Order: sequence, then C-alpha cells, then structure tokens
Amino acid sequence: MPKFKVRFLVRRVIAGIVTLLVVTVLVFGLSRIQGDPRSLLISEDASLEQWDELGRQLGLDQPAYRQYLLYMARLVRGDLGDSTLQRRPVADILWSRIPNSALLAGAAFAFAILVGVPLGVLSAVKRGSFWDRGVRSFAVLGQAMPVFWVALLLIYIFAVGLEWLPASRNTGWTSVILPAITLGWFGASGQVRILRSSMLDVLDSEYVRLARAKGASGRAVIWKHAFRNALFGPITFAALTLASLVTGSIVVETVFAWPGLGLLAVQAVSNSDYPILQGVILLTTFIFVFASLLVDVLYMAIDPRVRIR
Amino acid sequence: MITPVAGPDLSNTRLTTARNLRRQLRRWPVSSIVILSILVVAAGFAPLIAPHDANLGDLGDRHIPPVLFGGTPDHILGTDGLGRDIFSRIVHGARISVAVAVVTLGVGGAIGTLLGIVSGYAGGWVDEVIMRIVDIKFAVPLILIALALAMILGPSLGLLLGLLVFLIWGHFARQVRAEVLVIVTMDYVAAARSSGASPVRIMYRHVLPGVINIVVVVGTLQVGAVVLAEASLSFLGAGVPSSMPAWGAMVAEGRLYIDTAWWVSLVPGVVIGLLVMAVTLLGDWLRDRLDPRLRQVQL
Amino acid sequence: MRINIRGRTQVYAAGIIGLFVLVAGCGTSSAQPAESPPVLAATSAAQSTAATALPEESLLAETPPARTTQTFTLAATDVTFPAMVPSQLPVAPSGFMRRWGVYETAMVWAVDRPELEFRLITGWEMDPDGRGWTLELKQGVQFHGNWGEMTAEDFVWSFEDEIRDGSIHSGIGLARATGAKAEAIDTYTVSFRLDNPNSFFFDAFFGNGSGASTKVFSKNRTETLGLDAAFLDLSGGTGPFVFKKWAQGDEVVLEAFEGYHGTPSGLKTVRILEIKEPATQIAALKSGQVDASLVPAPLAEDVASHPRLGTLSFGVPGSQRLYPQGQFCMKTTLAGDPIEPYPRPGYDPTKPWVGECGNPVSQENARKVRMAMSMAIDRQSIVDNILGGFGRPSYLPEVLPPLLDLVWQDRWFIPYDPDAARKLLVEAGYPDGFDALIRITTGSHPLEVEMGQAVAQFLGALGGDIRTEVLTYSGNRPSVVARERSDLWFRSSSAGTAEPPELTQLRRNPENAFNPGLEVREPLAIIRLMDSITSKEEIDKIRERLYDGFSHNQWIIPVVLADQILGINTDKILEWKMTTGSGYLGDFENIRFK
Repeated sequence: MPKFKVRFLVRRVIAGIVTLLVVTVLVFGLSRIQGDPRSLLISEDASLEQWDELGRQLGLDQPAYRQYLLYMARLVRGDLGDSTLQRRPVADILWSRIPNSALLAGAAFAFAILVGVPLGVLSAVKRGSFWDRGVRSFAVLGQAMPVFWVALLLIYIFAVGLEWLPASRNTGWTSVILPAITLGWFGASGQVRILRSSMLDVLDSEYVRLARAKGASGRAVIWKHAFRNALFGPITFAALTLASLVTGSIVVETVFAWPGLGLLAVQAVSNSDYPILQGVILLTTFIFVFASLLVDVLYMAIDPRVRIR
Repeated sequence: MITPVAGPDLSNTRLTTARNLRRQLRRWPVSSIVILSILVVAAGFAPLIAPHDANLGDLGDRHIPPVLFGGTPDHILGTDGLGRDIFSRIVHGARISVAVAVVTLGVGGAIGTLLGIVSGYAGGWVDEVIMRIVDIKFAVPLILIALALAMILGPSLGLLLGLLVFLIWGHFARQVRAEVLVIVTMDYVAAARSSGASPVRIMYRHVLPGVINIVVVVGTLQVGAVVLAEASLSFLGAGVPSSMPAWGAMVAEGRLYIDTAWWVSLVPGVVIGLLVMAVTLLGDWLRDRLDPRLRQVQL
Repeated sequence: MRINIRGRTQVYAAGIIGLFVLVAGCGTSSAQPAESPPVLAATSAAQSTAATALPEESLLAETPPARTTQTFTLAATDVTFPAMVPSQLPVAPSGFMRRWGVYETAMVWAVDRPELEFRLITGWEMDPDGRGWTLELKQGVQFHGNWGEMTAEDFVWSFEDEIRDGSIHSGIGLARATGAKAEAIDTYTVSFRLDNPNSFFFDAFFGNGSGASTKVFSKNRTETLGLDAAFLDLSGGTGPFVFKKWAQGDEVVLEAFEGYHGTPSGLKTVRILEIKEPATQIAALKSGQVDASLVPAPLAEDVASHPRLGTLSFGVPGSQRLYPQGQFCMKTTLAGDPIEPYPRPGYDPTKPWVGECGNPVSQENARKVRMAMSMAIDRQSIVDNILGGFGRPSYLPEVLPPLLDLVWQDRWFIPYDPDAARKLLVEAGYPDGFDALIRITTGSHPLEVEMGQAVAQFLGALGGDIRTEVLTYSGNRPSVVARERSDLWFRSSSAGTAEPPELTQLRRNPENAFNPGLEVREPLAIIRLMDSITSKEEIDKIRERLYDGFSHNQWIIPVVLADQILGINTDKILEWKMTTGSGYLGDFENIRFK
C-alpha cells in the first residue's frame, strides 16, 4: 500500500480514538452533573459511615480527574459499570440487545440501498416521466414526515387494518418488515435523490455522449459508465445514513417495542438508570467511528486518486 | 442565468402571453414560494387570522372532526383532545416553527459558517482541531445526549434550541470549509494577501461572499431537519413545553387517536410535510441555480 | 437490468451489503433476548453486601403436563423491575408479584362481595384483650422450586423481614407504632401480639388490600441462597403461577404452578409484554397480538365497537391530585425529633399557597389560595369529557386510612365555583391571580397529561399564567421534580406502575428532594389517634380534626378518581374478575375463557 494511504489510515484511526476519548469525557461529565449516585443506591436510614463507605467504594472521595481515570481504567477492561436498577453489568445488558439492533439496522440499510438505488437510477433514466415523478414523490415524502408518525401509520395500516404483519415487538422475520421500512425510508429517499442527480450529471456529460456516439448500447452506457461514476455521492450518503439509523432507531424501536439499543436508552431514561444510557452513548459512538473508518477505507479502495484532506 | 431558447415570434397573441407566463413560471419553484409565503404570513399575522385561542379550549368540544367530515364551520379543521381549535393552533404554531427555524438556523448557521471559514482559510492545526470537533459532533448520537440532558435538567425551550443548533452547525462547517478550500486558491485572494490585508478582512470581504451560496443552500436543506427533529424530540418528551402549539408536539399529542380522531395528528403532520417539502424543493432549485457543482450537497 | 459484477466498486459494495446481511442473519437466530431468568444455583451463595453475580441453573420444579394450554398475553407499559441492593432492602416481594399470583397473603378480599377469603390460613381468632390474633395456617401448601412446605416459621420470617431495620415496606410504620411481634406457636399456628389495639392491623397485614400485606415466602430459600440471590430469584412463593422468564424491559412469562394448593386456574401461560408506546399498545390489541391492554377512556367506545374486542373498567384506589409544594413548616419529625435545618430546604414563602411559618394571617391567606385553586377546578367536567365518564370527582386526598364512613361528611364536598374562587384570591391578596408551573408526571394512567392540562386551564381562568411541563415516560424523576419544589405537581397516586423502591425511600425522608412538601403535623397525628377510637365524642373530635387538616386546608388538592379501562379480546375471554389493589393488572387465575 502506498505510503500516503497508510498515513491517511493512521490519521483516521487516531482521529477516531480522539473522538472516542472526547465522548468519554462528555459522558463522564454528564454523569457527574446528574447528581450523587449514592442517593439512588442507599436507604435513607443508612448511617453516615455507610454513606461514606459507599462513597469510598464508588471512588467518590477522589478528585474529579482521578475519578475519570478510574472510570477509564474500568472502561478499557470492558467494564461499563452496573445498571442502577437491574444490578447487572451494563455490558451484559448491551450485549443482549445488540443482535436486535443489528437486525433492524441491517434490514433498514438493506431497504435503503436495495430500494433507493434502483429507484434512483430509474428516476434518472426516465427523467421527466410519470415514473420519475412518482419516485421523486416517494423520496421527498420519506424525508418530510416525522418518523414516529410514519411508524404508527404503517402499524395501523398493515397490522390493524389489513392484519398482514405484526403490530409490534420482535416476533420473527415478519416483524422486522415494518420497522425496517420506517427506518430505511429516510435513507432510501436520500439515495434516490442523490443518485438521481449524480446520474443526471453523468448522463449529460461529454464522456457519456462520446460513449453513445461510439455506438455503445443504452444499457451498457448506463451501467458501465454512468453508474460507476455516479457512485461517490451515494456512498457518502450511505455513511450519513448510518447516523440517521442511530437517531431514527430510538424512535422506531420505541414505537414498535423493538428490544434494541434505542429502546434500551429510552427505558434507561425513564428509569433514571444512567449507567445504561452512558453505555449506549459510548457504544453507538464507537460503532459510528468504526463505520466511518470502513467508509474511508472503501473510498480509498474505489479510487486510488481520491483527494485526501 | 439560463437564457431562454429562442422560438418563433408569436408575441402578438394572447395565447403566447399565457404560454410565456407558464414558461416563466416553470423556471421558478412556484409551489414552494407560495407555501412559504403563506407560512410567513400566518406566522406574522397569527392573532388576526386565528379564529380561536390556541391554548384554551372547551372540554365539551373535544375531538370535533373537520368541517368536511361532519364537524362545524366554527372549527374548520376540528378540535383536539382539550377542545382547542386545530386551525388556530396551526396558525400560532407557524410562529413557533418560524421562530425556532430562524433562531436555530441563524445561530447554527453563523457558528458553522464562521468555523468553516476559519478552518478552511487558516489551515494547519486550526483546521485539524476544528474538523476534529466537527467529526466528534457527527459521531455523538445527539438524540441520546438530548434524552440525557432532558432527564437531568428537565425539558425546556432553551434546551431544545440549544440541541437543534448543535444538530446543524456541523453541516454548515463542513460544506463551507470545502468551498473555502477552493476559494483560497483564487487569484483575488492571493492578491489581497500580498497587498497586506489582514486575515480577518480577507475572510470578511473576499471569502464570505463566496460562501454565501452554499450557506443558503445548506440552510434551506436544514430547515426540514430542524422541524423533524423538533417533532421527534417532542415525541420522546424532550421538546417544547406542551402548552406551546408547536406542530411536532401536536402530531405527538394526537398519536393515540390515529384511527379515531385522526385529524389531530394528520393536520399538523401534513403541514410539517408541506413545509419540509417546500423548503427542500426550494433548496434544490437554489442549488441548481446558484452552482450546479453543488449537486452532491444533500444535507 | 444486468448488474456487472466485475469491477472493484461493485465487489466492495456487495461486500458491505453482505456483511450487513450476515450480521442480520446472526441477529435473527439470537434476536430474541435470551436473558435467562435470574434463578438459583444448586449450591448456596454466601450472604454478601456487594452486587451478586446471578447464579446459572434453575431449580424450578419440573412442571408436569398442564390441564390446559391456554395462553394469555397482556400489554404493559413497563416490565423493568428494580433489583436494588438486596441487603439494604427487604426480600419481601413487591405488590405486583402478589397480583401476578406468584406470592400470596393470608387472605384476599372476594371480588364481588365485601368478605375476606382464606388463602394461606384456615382460620383466625382475636385475643380477648383485642391486642392480637392467632392464625391457623393451611397445611400442605408447597413453595415453588421444591423449597418445601409452608410452616409457621415461614410466615413469621416473612413478616419480620418486612419490618426489619432498613426496610422500606409500607407497613413498617404501623408495625413499629403498634410494637407488633409475631411468634410461631407450633408448626401451623402463628400468634401476633400488639402493644395497643389497632383496628387497621388485621386488614393491612393479613389481607391483600394494602401494600403492607404479608406475602409469604420460604425462609429456607432465603437462608440458603442469601438475601441478594433470594430477592432476585422469584421462585420462592406459594401462588398459582411461577416465573418462567423475566427479560428486563422486554417481557415476563408466568406458568401455572402444578403443585398449587388451591383451585387451579384454566391458564397455562401468561405473557406480559412491554409496549411503551400507548398508540402501539392499542394497535397490538386491535391486531390481536395481545389479549388485553389498558385503554384510555376516549378510546373505550372505539375499542368496544371493534368486532373482536370488548372493554371492562375497574376502579383503582389511587387518585389524581394536585400537590402545592413548598409547605415545610413542620418543626419536628413524627417521632418528635427536631428537624434541622429549619425551615427546611424547599420552603418557599413567596409562593401564594405557602404561608410564612408562624404567621397566622399569612397562613390563612395561603389556605384561601389553595381553596381557591380547588374550587376553580371543574372536576365533573374532567370526568365527563376526558375520562368519558369512567371515574368520579375526588374530594379526599386519600392519604387517610380506608374508613370512609368515619371520615366523609358533606362539607368535604368542594363546589365548582370560579367566582367564589376569585373572591377568595382577592381576599388573599391576589386579585389578578398568580403565575405557576404545573409539573405533570406520567406513567400511571394514560390520560394524566390531558387531565393535568385541563387543571392548568381551569386554574388559568383565575387570572394568572399557568404553564405546564410534562415529564413523559418518567414515572417520577426525583432530580427533576425536586429542582423547584415550590411549584404545583399533578400526578396519580402510586396505583399503577410499580414505584421503584429508591423513590419510596426518597419520599419518606423529609430532607429528600422528592418529598412533596406535605409535612403537616396535624393530619398525621390524627391518623395515629385513630388507633384508639372508643367513643362517639372521640370520633367526632377526630372527624373535626380530619376535616380541618385535609379539607379545610387543602394541603393536597384532590382532583378525580380515574378508572382504568381494560380492552380485552372477547373472542377468547369470557370474564375476568379483578380484586381491588394496585393498578398492576393481575389476578390471572380469575380469567375465564370461552
């Protein structure tokens, strides 16, 4: 691998680590604002000695920076603390919820790509037609409605009205359909719009006209030339879709009672269970940083000439 | 400006005038402009337009359907769960939406633009630091932080505005910086530098005008994000105080009756949808007109 | 369209998609949260004060084939249960576990007539001096999980654990005040002795109507496993159902206990699913995903008209009230110890409804403000329009013991009279009304927000600006509610969701943020006096003091008693008789199927 690529990757990895560190400080700071954890852990009849002892156990008698270091030391070992309410390690709780979130995110992402990309191409190729307008309406709609409302509408149409699909919870593969569509619609819309405009640019370009002039058939032109060159926008947007999946999943999981990390965060808030919320924030940041890194690698692999900032 | 293609000279017929008018209109995002004008007018003249008080309702008048679905002309869009007139709430809600959008985009846009210009112009470690901060902002799941803060501090309008500003400034920073990186290679900037102008002056007089385009485009595209974020935060309980008729909060309030008193959620939802669509289409049009290079800008 | 799969671009894209599909595929197979219930290990765990690692294997009795395979599915807003530091709390199970039929009390109130039915006892006798009872335990009652037969020792153990030091059991005050002691006379006989006679003790501890009721669990199990594991393990009761699965925040599964000593129900499995979003709960009900769910009153008609569904309503003992906060004039605790610092944190005499301590004029003005607020609320309108008639106006703050005849008089009735209310405000020095913030906490009743907003509207008619702030999905967040304790707080009383123990702790401590600020000496002292009622003159005196304390002063402003409405699948369910008790739905053994 050429040296500049290595350097680029190393810089990105370092940037990712810095991001994570800053987030840990942020999360640690929030936890200190929210009050003395002892008041939630110990009974009112506890003596002053018990209060102090618990403080020692929790490291609360130390100055803030040392508490932070203690916190980081535990974090590096994978110890995210214990849930205030459930008295179990936060890491275990997160671990048990990850498969559900992964399933939903994967299905939503698949929907966004598998629906968004072909529709975007269709819309570009058949520019101005009824298809184009229909697809563009679908896209604009998907980015113009509040997520929880889309979710409820889908539930009431397909689960209550038509009774085709389950209304809530993870009950098998059919139950992932509605949440995935809700979550992925935004991403699909974005892909449609980006891909459409990218392809329009390329289709109009001299390069394609030249290919056509040389006698290349319509389909070959579309796929061989236009599509490949129009890919940067969609790939960028796919990365952005990741972010929208995280934010959207909180609302979607709440409405669908889908037992993933997003719902876990909402439950943690309603139960004042701060360690869990902290854990979810750290985990989602980590996933995002990791995924961004993957996207950067992908960029570099696609185009060795890509401009590295 | 795109010049119209020359055609046969039919300028003497009335039909031509209509056709010309249509041709002129097609070049502008008419529907967007109309919708946004209505919105601004509603926001400005809300107390005059709204037939009822937006916050007081008669409990006996709960859940009256819109007039076309069996309601009364007194409440053309029906009433909500506390008997409040929905049309009036929509109109007053326009004020809140406009205010929130203006404040958020103004502050967030200003901060983002400033940081983008500084970052792109200064380069070096300043650029690195600022871009790292932007990266961190994008990496952190904002909605979780919002929940955590709402949990600790309690929901409030100030918190909501702060969160929304934080949500969008990063987009401005990134896009502006990318533009600035191109601008600084321009001759006129080099000339200004060599003539001894201070960096601040250069940034203000030469760089800033060059990024206005992209700021406007990003701004219009972010309006939708802000409005929808407000709706989601209201749904989760971290939004505006509930007595204020913000549209997102109205959709959230009515969601229990989605198949009985469906108008309580649908009306504000449609209004939000119209606003977001109008602004997005306007942003697309602006982008195409101002600089087709910006086609890749989506958020 | 043929996709050209050559070329690196497509390969990488396919790779990414494939990766997601792979992860998703793994997710499908393990996507059900496979949290095993926190169950027992075969070996004993040492008692410890640190948080305990949950043991692995199950000691649940193998269930022989059941008589029926009926499954009942219920939607609930919250199935996360507090697992607090066990050694600091009693092992006594929370009320919902009794309602779910996992644990039992000595007796239960019959569902359709005011009589107590025996469950774990076969008889009782009151001592001649009125200071105690002897209970005759039922023989052959088996504990879940093969922990043996219930004996008097278990009963005594269960009672004593509930009232030990550090317990937050709601009966502890009464037990301490009466000096109650329990003793196992022989294997199946238990004796309770009190220092003074007390008319509340019997129903409170031996019935099922109050949080104080003694739920019997196995002493052997607690001693074998240690407090921590015994609390987290849920299989040591005597009731008709055993916990099969407890996935925090997701679902609870109960199964019929084949060794049950009483009449077995027709139900094999109960699933309680957490669906936080009320609109989704209703959708799940309508689509048939659940068999029962709470329904907000405005939707009752709609649900009832659905072909497969019906509704039934049940009253809950809790009520909706408005707390004017910041009234901290109490100088000593209930026991007589002085309270330091004085005035206490949160005391805010600048609020219209809080008078200056020790200033009779100021106190009277404050009383008028509170009474004005109470008179400005049209309770009947809230019942009719928001609750759809499912409820009734409330004029009692319901911190009083359940002796309504003793307490109720016509003068407790507060008329809806906004003009009179405004006059009172003028007298009190607020001719233009006053501004205030009402915090509305939710989680107990589906219509709390609307009721609270209606109250805000009514109070706003007095002239001032009344804002509301809703704390959704919050239950009660101490740190938030406490920040400005001198505002108004609208909430349901604790009927409904299980209140996490730490909140109960916080509420009891006057220093604690969560205290609603109602620390008035007189009404609490009155309650203690009611122990020893013997004459009509005494009764009249007490009634006078109760009226003065609760109605005349309106320390807590009662609003309504909102019923809960249950939507049920009438294709499947014939009837479901529920006993009174907390709003946690239970009594599954009383469900009759078609």
